[in-house]
Amino acid sequence: MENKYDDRFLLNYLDGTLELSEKELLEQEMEKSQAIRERLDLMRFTIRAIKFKGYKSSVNEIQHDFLQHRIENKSFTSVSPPKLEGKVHSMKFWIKIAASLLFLCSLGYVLWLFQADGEQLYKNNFISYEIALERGAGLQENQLGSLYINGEFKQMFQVSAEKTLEEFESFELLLLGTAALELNDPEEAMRYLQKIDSDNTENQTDDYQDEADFFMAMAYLKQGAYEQALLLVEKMRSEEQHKYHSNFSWAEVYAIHLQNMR
Amino acid sequence: MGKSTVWTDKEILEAISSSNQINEAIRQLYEGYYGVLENFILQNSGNEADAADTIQETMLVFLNLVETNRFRGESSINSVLYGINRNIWLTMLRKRKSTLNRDQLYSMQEEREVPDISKTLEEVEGYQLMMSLFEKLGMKCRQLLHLFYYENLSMKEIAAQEGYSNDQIVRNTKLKCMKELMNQIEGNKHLNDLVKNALGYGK
Repeated sequence: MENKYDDRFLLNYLDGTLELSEKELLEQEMEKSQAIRERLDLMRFTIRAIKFKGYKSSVNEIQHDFLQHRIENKSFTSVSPPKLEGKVHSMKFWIKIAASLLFLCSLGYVLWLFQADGEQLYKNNFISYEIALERGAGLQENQLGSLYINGEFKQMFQVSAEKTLEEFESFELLLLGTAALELNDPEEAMRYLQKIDSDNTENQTDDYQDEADFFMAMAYLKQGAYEQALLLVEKMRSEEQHKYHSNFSWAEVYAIHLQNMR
Repeated sequence: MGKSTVWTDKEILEAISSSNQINEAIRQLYEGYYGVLENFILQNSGNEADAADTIQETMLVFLNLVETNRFRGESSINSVLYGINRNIWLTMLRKRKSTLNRDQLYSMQEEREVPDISKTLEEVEGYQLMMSLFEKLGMKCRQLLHLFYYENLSMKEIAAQEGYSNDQIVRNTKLKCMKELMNQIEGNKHLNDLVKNALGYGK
């Protein structure tokens, strides 16, 4: 880089604060020097990335407001059904209605049990992993944690591309595993989650084992591997101290059994 | 959201290019086009959540197109947004290995004249990655760069607002912050390659 045209000078050019004569000199120099052109392009790109971050938070906020406003507006403008003026129904009538509804709901649930495949069970039970507040506060310095909090799941894999599984800590493996699930990639999720599981077995530790159990069960369900999913779900339900002890109902366990038998 | 006046395409583009009333311009885009963009996703195997994600990305790509002068109003904003939205959603469907017959989808929809957005998509990927490096800067740096480049505040205004003793200190700090960010970019091989490709210096 030519000394005269250092970063300060180039940045002043992009910010539009150079004198006209300096600007013209630099533009002449740019014609000849690829190094200057490349440095300026990188600076310009960086500035656009800063603006993009601003756009992103504005768009996020405005979209949220817009959708909220739309929901409120819908309920405000919805057409009220005609009222049944003056008509009073007996208690017996309401009991019949309630019984019919109960019957229909039970029937629907039984039908659902017979039909629910891994994908439906997954959708029904998947919950995003939430980083605990006290842990989240310390994550500002952790790039993966920061990306996870911002929902930048794809970027998590881009920044980790050059690392091997052995180089990640358990918490990072968990974040990558759950991020892969967020991106609908259960095979990729299993790579990270199984690593937590095998490390714990090997070292006789318990780091994020409950979370690994739950998200591995989710990944198995999504892949239709019911036998493996069932083992994990039953493990969670049998251990009262397990963080995900109550996440699956007996009916869902039954539905997985049914799928496994098919 | 309550503004009732509807801006013309020209007014929206001017507001974005000059960074003047940018939030109001984005609101206008949402008010005017969200429905039609959402409808496209819903009619092509998507749900409301898919629509929300896709439209958010569409807006960001559109803002970048205007910001980089690749769209200056040669066609209507409606056409451009529709084209970007369609492109992003088809890519998403392709990734999901959807069974939907895409040929059918292509023929179902009329073709509209839209600027080439492949370069913009590549840039947006670079920006997203750069955002994670931006997070690694100190709070003061992040705030200063945001105020200057996004909020368009002058050095004097930033000095007064952020408690710097004068605008020269703001200028020096800003240079330091920019250098720190650029060093991080150059130190990240993946991002560096991506940026070079986006800038046309790739292999």
